[in-house]
Amino acid sequence: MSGSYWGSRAVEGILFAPDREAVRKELWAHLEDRRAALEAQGLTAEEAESAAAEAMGDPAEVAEALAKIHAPWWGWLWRLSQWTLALVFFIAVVSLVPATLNNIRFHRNMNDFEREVLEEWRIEGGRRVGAYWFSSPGVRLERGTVPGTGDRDQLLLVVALRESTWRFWELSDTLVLDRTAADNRGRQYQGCYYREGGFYCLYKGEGLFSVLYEIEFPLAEREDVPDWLDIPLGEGSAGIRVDLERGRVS
Amino acid sequence: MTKKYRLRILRNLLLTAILLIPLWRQNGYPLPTLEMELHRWERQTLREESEIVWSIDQTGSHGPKMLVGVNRDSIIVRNRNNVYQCWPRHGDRATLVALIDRIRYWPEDGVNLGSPALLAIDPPRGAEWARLKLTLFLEDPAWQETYEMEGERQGEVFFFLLRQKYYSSSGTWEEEAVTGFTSAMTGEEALNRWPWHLEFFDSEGNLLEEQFSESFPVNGD
Amino acid sequence: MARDRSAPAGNTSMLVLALLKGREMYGYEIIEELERRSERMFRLKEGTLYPILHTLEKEKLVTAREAQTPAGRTRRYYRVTAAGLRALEDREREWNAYSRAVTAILSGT
Repeated sequence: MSGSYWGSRAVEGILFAPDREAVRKELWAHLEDRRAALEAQGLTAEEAESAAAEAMGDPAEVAEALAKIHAPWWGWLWRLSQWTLALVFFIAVVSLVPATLNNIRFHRNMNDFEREVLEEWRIEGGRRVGAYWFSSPGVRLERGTVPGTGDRDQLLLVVALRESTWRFWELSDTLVLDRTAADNRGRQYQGCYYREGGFYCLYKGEGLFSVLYEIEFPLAEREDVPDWLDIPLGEGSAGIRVDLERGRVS
Repeated sequence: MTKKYRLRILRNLLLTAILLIPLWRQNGYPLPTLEMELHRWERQTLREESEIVWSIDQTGSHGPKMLVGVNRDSIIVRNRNNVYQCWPRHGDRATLVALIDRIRYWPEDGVNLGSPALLAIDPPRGAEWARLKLTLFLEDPAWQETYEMEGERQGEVFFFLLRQKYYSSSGTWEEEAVTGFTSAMTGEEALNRWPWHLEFFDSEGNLLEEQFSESFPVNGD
Repeated sequence: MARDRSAPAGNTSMLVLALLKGREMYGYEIIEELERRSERMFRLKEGTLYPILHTLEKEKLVTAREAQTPAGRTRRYYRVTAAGLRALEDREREWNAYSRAVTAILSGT
């Protein structure tokens, strides 16, 4: 019996190919060591090889024992996990690449209007409303074009509002544009109006765990900037107050 | 031997999960059940969580899958294609809600139809059966038909199915009136544009509650 | 306390563990060392060593690492783990108790 034949027979029972190969290599190394030693004792190459195989014993017995030890389940599970990963990766690339390219194009258009920043306020703190945490990165007074209209040179109070949650599959557009906002002077702003006395929302950006809104209030003059604004959220009666004077959210 | 596989399998599963997230996101983060999606919509619109009082799943027969939940002051209806409607809940009396998706039913002669349906939420206590009369009409040409429906109690609500009288082929006026009804159904004010009369009776036949739509003709019929 | 599940090889795996206590070895080395130390008393069929080694590895009584020889052959070196040392101690105790009992009976006391 040749050494390589012995090796192949002894690992017959190992069903998972990579495992089988690894054990076969180990056994072959042993056979080679034994063959080299026997040759050194004076046997011919052929004699040494069959004596080495002989010394290893019954390959069928060894095969049975090795088969019990090296069960294929984990190997097959690993193969399955590899194929699943490859499949999901392929699907992801095929479906996400065109979508991402479209997104990039959309966002570039959003920034296509000119504004001049006249004043800025920093807003601290945050508040929990429903299942979300709301905070404000800041408020700006700007002058410039209003998107979607022909208005240039419009004074706008831009309130940035961030909505966050760890449940990233539940982020939403919770600002509803047909409710009313109010300020400290009792002024009412109708949602969805691109003119003074109204406000509209430029939905700005989406992270994995948060959404950023920029809400714009067109104003007639600089003196009209209020001390605070109550901004409606959702479709019930919830809302949040952005306090410019105290620089916080409540 | 197994240890190295275990680690690799875990790593592959983790990578697969991470790759699945953008795919999940691209499809609008679908959730396993309709009920979960309804409650998520409630959280997203900052509404109070509702309790599901009625549902139907006819997807096996090309029908709609709908869900109706109630909270303190509203009735949420989730229609086919992720359309959510919010109807005000009266509380002190029953609220009649019309469903915009047509329900499939199989009349005796076997023709498979889809018909509009209505629900009465918060029926009076002790109500054993209910009756709804609804008039559908067309203005031009002038056509009208009154349908009398017996309510079927399903859980805590009464279910009314409008069975069409002229078997539908898309040319009949009845079909046009029915389509006009379901496609205009945006909420309570829309429902009140059609004359309807709702009655609840107890097991002895006594009238427990009665409601009329705002456009119900004063001289009755 | 429980007997090794692979009963026929039970004693052999104890011997293998004992050999590895000294240093890490690969399969062929283990066979040679076994013969040498037992003064040729133990000569097992060389192929049967590997199921024993792999079982010990699976039971975490030994660990293995691969290394390349200058000639390009891959060798797996086995070494005993802490758990393996504990198992060896248990087996030694059992063996000593057993052999004391046999000696006692043979000497007639």
